[in-house]
Amino acid sequence: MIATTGEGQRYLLPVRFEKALKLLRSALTEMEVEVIQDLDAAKVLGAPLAVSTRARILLVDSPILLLEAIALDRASAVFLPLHILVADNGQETAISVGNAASAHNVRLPAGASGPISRLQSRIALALEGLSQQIARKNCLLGGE
Amino acid sequence: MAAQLPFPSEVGYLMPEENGTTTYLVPAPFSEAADLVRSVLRRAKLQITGELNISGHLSKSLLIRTAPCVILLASCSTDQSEAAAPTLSDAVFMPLHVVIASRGSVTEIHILKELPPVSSDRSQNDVLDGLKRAIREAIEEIGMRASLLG
Repeated sequence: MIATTGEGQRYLLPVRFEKALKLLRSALTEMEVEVIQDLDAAKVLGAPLAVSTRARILLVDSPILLLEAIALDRASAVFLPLHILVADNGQETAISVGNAASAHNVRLPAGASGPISRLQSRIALALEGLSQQIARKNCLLGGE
Repeated sequence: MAAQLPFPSEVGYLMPEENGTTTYLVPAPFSEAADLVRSVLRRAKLQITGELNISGHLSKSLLIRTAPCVILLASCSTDQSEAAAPTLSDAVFMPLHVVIASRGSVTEIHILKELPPVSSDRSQNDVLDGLKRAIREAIEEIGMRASLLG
């Protein structure tokens, strides 16, 4: 399931947290998106999330897109790497892709818009592919 | 006689979007400025939850040398977080990036500008606005806004 919110895109994958994290990392790698930092959301926020016991914040980029983004103005690094929040939701896992620039409707630094949008497309493709892969697997297991 | 142009709103133009970042200049070389930034953020009781060495990352991945650049990942202190329960929307934007970039004998600091609320959820705006304000106030102790220097 995919929903677009003011903050970015949200996905709900019908798999448990640990498995979703593993599948997500592999789907991102296939799209040449690197996880350069993996943070515990509770540690970052100073408290567990109100809606979830476990959550991770993945900071992701693609080195070539990052280089392109910061070549003209290093202020672009305020928006990159992008953040992906992965939150435990029982039998499901909620995945949100943050987009501070579009959430605030602000002008990005010179040269940042293209690489950020291409990185977002790669993440969206990875997540959509993952959703379809899980749906197909569930279909086969269900004998449909 | 000069023709009087209509206001943009009268002809339906969109007003230009606001710049999303604020840049400060610190009159110190990179490593000294980076230490200063870490110290003012800590003094403001902000957590530095991580550091990303961007120039190192690019050098390792692409074998390309760029001027030194690091991102400090800043988030609220535990006390501040307890005051307003974090939501999913908070976590998507946090930690905020404080970019420290070398520019010869001076150092640039780039941060997310304080902007209108992201959502109508008051607690979320409190957490994010409070964090952005605290970072700006801390950086203003050591840096001069680049836009004021022309």
